[in-house]
Amino acid sequence: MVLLRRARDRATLGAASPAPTARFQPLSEPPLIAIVDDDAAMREALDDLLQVAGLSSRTYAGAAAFLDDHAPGRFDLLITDLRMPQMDGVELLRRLAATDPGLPAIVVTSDSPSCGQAIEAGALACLGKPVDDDALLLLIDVVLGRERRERPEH
Amino acid sequence: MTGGAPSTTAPVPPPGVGPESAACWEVDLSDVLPLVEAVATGGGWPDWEAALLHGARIVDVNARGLELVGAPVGQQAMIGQPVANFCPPESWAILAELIVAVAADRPAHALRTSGIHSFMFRNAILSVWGVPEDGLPDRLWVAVDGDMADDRSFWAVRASEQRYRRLLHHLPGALLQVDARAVGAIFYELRSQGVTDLAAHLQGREELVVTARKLVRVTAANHGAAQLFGAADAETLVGPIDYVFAASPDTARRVMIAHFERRRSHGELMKVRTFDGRLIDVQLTVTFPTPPERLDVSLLSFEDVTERLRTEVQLRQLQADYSRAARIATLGELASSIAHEVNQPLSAIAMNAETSLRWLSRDEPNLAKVDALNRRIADSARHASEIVQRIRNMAAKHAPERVPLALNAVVEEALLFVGHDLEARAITLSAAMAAALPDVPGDRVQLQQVIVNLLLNSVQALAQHGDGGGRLIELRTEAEAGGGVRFVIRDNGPGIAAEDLDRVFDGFFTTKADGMGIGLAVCQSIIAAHGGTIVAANHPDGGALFRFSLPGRPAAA
Repeated sequence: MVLLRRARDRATLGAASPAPTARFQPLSEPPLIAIVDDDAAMREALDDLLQVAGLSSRTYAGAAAFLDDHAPGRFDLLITDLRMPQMDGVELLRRLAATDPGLPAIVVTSDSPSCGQAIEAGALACLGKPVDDDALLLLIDVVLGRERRERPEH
Repeated sequence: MTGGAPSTTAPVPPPGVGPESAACWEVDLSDVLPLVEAVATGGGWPDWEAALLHGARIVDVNARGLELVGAPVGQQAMIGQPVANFCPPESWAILAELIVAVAADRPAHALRTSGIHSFMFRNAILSVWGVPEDGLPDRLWVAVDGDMADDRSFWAVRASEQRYRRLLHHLPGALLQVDARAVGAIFYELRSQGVTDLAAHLQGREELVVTARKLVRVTAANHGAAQLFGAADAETLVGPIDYVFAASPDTARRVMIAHFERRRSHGELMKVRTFDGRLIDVQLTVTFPTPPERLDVSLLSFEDVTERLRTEVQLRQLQADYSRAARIATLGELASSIAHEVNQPLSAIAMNAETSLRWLSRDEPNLAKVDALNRRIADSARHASEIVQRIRNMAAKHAPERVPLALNAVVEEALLFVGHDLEARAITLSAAMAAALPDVPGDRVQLQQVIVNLLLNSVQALAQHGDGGGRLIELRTEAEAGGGVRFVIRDNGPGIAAEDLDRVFDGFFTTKADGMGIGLAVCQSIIAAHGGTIVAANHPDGGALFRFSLPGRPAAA
């Protein structure tokens, strides 16, 4: 199940037949993806999937750990779970909307009924678990290709 | 003639006493000569009279003596018995002193007499004499004589005896009248050997109990006993008591120990094999006689509790079924949590498998990656299977058991069931588990059920309480005096309405729109079945508080 943020992305994603040379465009730095999930098995599985697709990622066991490590512009994409102890995914999205509004976010959750909330809070897309890996990688390609921001120069 | 062999001669009649009117006994002192010697030379100890009369044995008795005290036992049962069994305790001191005086009167062992009270005679005279010999005599003779009490009083005694038998016969319930004096002799012997703990002494000497079962006799039985034992009539039950204990030999041992320890009574549940072959559960109560009651009357009463026990078993089964139904209902409430929890490892497995395929489909498959991913797949599969097993245990039918349990471990397992509900509702849980709690006997699944129910109760109370931040559940485990443990759960929800405090544990009481109202009722029935207590209260700082206590292991019996 994939729920997309329609207002902004219908056109681009609707046309998305394999779109996807985006991330093979020459870059000054490879894109960096943050994975936030309290479930270790899921976190590692996502990490490995991104790795086989040639993507770099960092994993975080909770929203707080991610926020500690986060600075605006540091990541190109956030993949987060919704149900998490202490701070849940929706709360994380709300905070990011204030501090780093340009960071695209994809939600993966077992709790599909909460996807509406996630989209409202600013997620680009919400995928139910088990995640369709083709759909996820496609989404990532589209997001990184279309929505990748300029990285600040060091 | 020496030793314990019966005399071949009739008792020598005392001078001036007719053998027809006097009750006469020949008494063997050979076992108590050291005691006689000690007392005669100014020794002895408090209660030596009882010891002497328990050690002095009857060798022979005349017809009058038999008539006077032997009624329910007969001559054979009287011979070899301690004198004490046939002498009213109020006369023990007089008789014992006469015996010592005559025995010490060397060499004549001449007749000595003393007046005593007797319901059979007016002006009763007790006589003791021996035959001339140099040392302490092995044998002495004892006689009681006097004017026969008038017929009315004599027959009044007989009549009251008969009334007693009629009363026994018509009393409701099953009663056996038992003459246990024969074991008095065994007890005396054991005590003189220095035995003070009969239970310990009987270890490996079960033959003593077998002997006692043959020596002790049922002397009367009532109608109720005949019915209970499935006998044709009450007379069938008269004889050695052996049959009573055929199906419960350990009961005989415990009754014997109680008698030895001079307890007034003894009661226990036992099994009885009836004459018509049924095996029934019986509550036995034995009442032992103590002076000045008739020493030959122990009373055994029996109550058939087979039906009651069967009902109790059915009740326990119902309770188990009820708890299980409630557990399944609870699992229903947890369904979305469970789905979420199981989905987690399954999602990881699916994704890892897809990733593996991607590594394998490369031109140069990365087998190291595939290897690592497959290990993760196996781990996640195991994890999923554990979750399923935990749920299956909750739903499974099982006979309630009592095994030593660590309360903290039960709490932790219970938390696994509601972890996702807590997360989903942003509830903060704080748990203060006491270290080194004693294990308590209990049923793991049922106690888990109680804790899960209490947790869910709090979760739902907090969910109804609006969205305000700072939803809190606090758990605590503590040791209690006497080896018990306590579990306390408190939330910061709306608490329990004052008028509901008395009703929260009632079946089908609920304040929830979709609640069945069995969760807390089952909690209470489970805790009660564990011998514990559960209470509901409101915390002074707000929110509901539930507390249950479980007793420790009962002290070893």
